[in-house]
Amino acid sequence: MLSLDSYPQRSDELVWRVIDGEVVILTTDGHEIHTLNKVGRVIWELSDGTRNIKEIVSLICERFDVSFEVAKADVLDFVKQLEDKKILRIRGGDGDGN
Amino acid sequence: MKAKMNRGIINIEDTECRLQIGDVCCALRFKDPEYCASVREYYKGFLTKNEPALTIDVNIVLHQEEINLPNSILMSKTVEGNNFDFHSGLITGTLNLDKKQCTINVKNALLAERSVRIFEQFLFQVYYTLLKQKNPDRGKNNFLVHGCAISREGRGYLFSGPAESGKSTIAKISSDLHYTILNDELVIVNKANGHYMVGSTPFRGDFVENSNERVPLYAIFLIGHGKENIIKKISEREFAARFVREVVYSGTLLSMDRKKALLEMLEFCTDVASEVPFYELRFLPDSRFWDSIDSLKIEGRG
Repeated sequence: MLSLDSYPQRSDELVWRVIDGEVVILTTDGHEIHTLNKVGRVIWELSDGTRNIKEIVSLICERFDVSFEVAKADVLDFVKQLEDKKILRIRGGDGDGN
Repeated sequence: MKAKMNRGIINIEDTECRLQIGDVCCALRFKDPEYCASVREYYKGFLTKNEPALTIDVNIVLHQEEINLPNSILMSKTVEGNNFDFHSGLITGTLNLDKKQCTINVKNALLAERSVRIFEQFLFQVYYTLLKQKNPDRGKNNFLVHGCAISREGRGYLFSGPAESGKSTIAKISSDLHYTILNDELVIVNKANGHYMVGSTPFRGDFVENSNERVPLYAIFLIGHGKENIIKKISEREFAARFVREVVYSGTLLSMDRKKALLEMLEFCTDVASEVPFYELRFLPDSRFWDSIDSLKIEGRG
């Protein structure tokens, strides 16, 4: 279960590039391509496995004019979507217990 | 076509097909002169007398079992030392670049009619192998791309898209207008002296009369059939994400570093986007899409 204590980390099985401020992600099997907008890019870049979601939400609040609760809901939703697509892995929290 | 024989002596041309793929030359060598003649006929316009950087001895393996051919064999390749195996034995082979020699065993199902397009995926990796052998850096801005390229007044227009998007339709319509068709299926996009060029390859779709030329790349259109002719500007992100699907995976015969190859492809798409004007084109299957293109004010960059 995803929580504020979870640590999202970009999968090793992909390559990505920032293009004109947005992100294009390719999975290494060459079959899937994902794109992220500018807000998604910020969360993506922060998801390096060293920050938990609470820290990411706080950083989002610093960069964008948004309340903690709204940012929390958006980040959790976004991270969940990318986890389902297997391009983010989740460590800690109530998740896989790693 | 009958193979040419001289008093029982087989000429080198009877068993060898030297192919020019962009700046790279490779030779396919067959035991059966008649088969070689059919290959030479298929690739006419792209045959060369240049010295090949690689000679590939092709052994055709006859088989009884029915084979379900995949759409792609590039991602199912395994490598062990100098040996490679595409898709669990469809093509197996050994590469010795120092001796400029390669031997492959190909199941004959891959060489029948349209299946040859799957076999050509092996040749794509030959191209990348020789390109990167010549100069590793040169491969970074030199890729095979699915697209129909038209030369008009010395300017290259690339219409890129997946199967059934209309590449051969555009080739046919443009040919009727007497424009030069470089290729209707697969082209080479490369950067030379700071500018992108588009050139033909031997790897064609349904259009046969391709012209083996290379011209400056003037504009790129990501195409699809539409209910009317519409050209629209798209973001660099959208262009890169869609264009990279049309770039042929740039792995070499013996390499397995997919991340490096994919990253180079992505960086190539980003660089192309910064240098060449790009658009999305939805079109009707008649010549009026060219009027829409002509009404654009395409501004070169770079």
